[in-house]
Amino acid sequence: MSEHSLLRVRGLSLRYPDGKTAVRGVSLDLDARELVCVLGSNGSGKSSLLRCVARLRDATAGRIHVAGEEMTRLRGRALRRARSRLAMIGQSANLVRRRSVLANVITGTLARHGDLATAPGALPATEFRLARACLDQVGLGAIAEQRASTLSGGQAQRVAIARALAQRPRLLLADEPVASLDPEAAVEVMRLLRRLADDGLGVVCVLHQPQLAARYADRVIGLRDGAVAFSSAAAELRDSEVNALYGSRAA
Amino acid sequence: MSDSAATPLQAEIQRRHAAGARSLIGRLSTAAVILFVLGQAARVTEAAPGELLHGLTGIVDIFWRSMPPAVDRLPAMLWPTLETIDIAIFGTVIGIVLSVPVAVLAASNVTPARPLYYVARGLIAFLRAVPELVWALLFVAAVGLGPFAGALALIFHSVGMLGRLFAEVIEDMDMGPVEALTLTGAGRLQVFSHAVVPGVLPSLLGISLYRFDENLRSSVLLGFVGAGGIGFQLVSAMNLFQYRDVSLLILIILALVVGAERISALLRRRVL
Repeated sequence: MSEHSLLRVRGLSLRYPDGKTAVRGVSLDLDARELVCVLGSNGSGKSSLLRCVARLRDATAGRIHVAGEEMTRLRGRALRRARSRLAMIGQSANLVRRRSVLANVITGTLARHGDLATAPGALPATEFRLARACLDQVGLGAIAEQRASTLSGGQAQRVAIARALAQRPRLLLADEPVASLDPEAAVEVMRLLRRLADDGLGVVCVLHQPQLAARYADRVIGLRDGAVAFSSAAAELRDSEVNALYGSRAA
Repeated sequence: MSDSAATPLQAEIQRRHAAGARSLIGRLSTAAVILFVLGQAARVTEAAPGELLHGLTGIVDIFWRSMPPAVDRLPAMLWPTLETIDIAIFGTVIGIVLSVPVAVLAASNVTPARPLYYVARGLIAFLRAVPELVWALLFVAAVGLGPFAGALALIFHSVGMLGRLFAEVIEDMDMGPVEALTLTGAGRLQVFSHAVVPGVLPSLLGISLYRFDENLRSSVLLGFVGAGGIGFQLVSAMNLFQYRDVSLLILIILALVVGAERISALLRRRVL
């Protein structure tokens, strides 16, 4: 099964130049239609793990396969092509605030076009239809023309997800996507991620809220000191496992 | 025991006395240095209040001789005025166009390569350090008297000034969208046009308008060294003792400077 998994990480380690080890020999598999949540306290290596997969950081050891392709040694154009197949969203939506929602979403399609497709107008109409469809998917089709600076936190995060979908990715990495949202907006974003997974996307989501993980994930992975502490089906997640992750801070 | 308790106290008092004396000496010597610097400056500039008073009659005399402004000469001054405005427009616009690529190289967060960063920073420092008037003197020597020399001088100095400010704006911008777009697999040029440009454009426009305002004032001065426009007329009129022409030209300059300031302030409010 792991031969064909969408994301396959083996023995991934990341040591920073200052000698601090952020990730220690992490292995994980993820299939399409699967939503995996990664839990762990601050500094447990959750974000570093995602950043290595997206190649924002170069792992010091280990292998990463996305849809069968080895990621760690890709450079230049090949890296760009590989990146376009995996999408990443973060804690902040990182939208261009002075541009419209649609103009932000359409930037997700840029990697499919030549370097000189630098103005939104240079993109074909099919991409605009796709961008609108992605906005409909996150439930924001009605505000396509609105300026990004006018959105609420939850709306902005959903626009960021729409931009990610416009890449037509197979894998979505979400690094604490609900950390700066109020509980209601957080649930909405998690529901959306669940639905996207059900529609065929593989989703890895770093979270701080065990309840959200238990409710929406298929599988929960706990990281402690950069290493995998447990990996269980969400339904079998035990409180003791989760509490151990957060040490004495957990009630 | 009580002796040893008194001794540190006395030592402390003595120490404070000594410190007080030292600080008095310090203050006196600071005052002496300031007086000396001021005194030598007055000496070197040959400042003489008596002569100012004496010259007052001369100033009043010149003032009366320049009244009324030679309004009938206004039509003849329109062309040099247009020249001055156009030197500023041309110098500013070409300066903006040239400083954008220089600023991109000189912004540490988007520069494509370290060596280019240092080259661009060096170029900016050099262009800024040489005053516009010196550039104008050089270009008058190179391309001859006239407005083109003035425009070239403004271009060179503007690239230095704008290049540095633009680079600072780019360095201060929100890098979130840049990272987000890089992650979608977009190319360098695409990231630049979709994330960098919309993020910095309003600030760049504001700075450019301010630069136009400054350049218009400089463009008046550039005429003094023969680089065309109204400044050249002003120097000629002074040399020929045509004071009624001088007063007219000063009025025109006043209108130009105030007008440019108002227009650029108005437009800046629009874009920001």
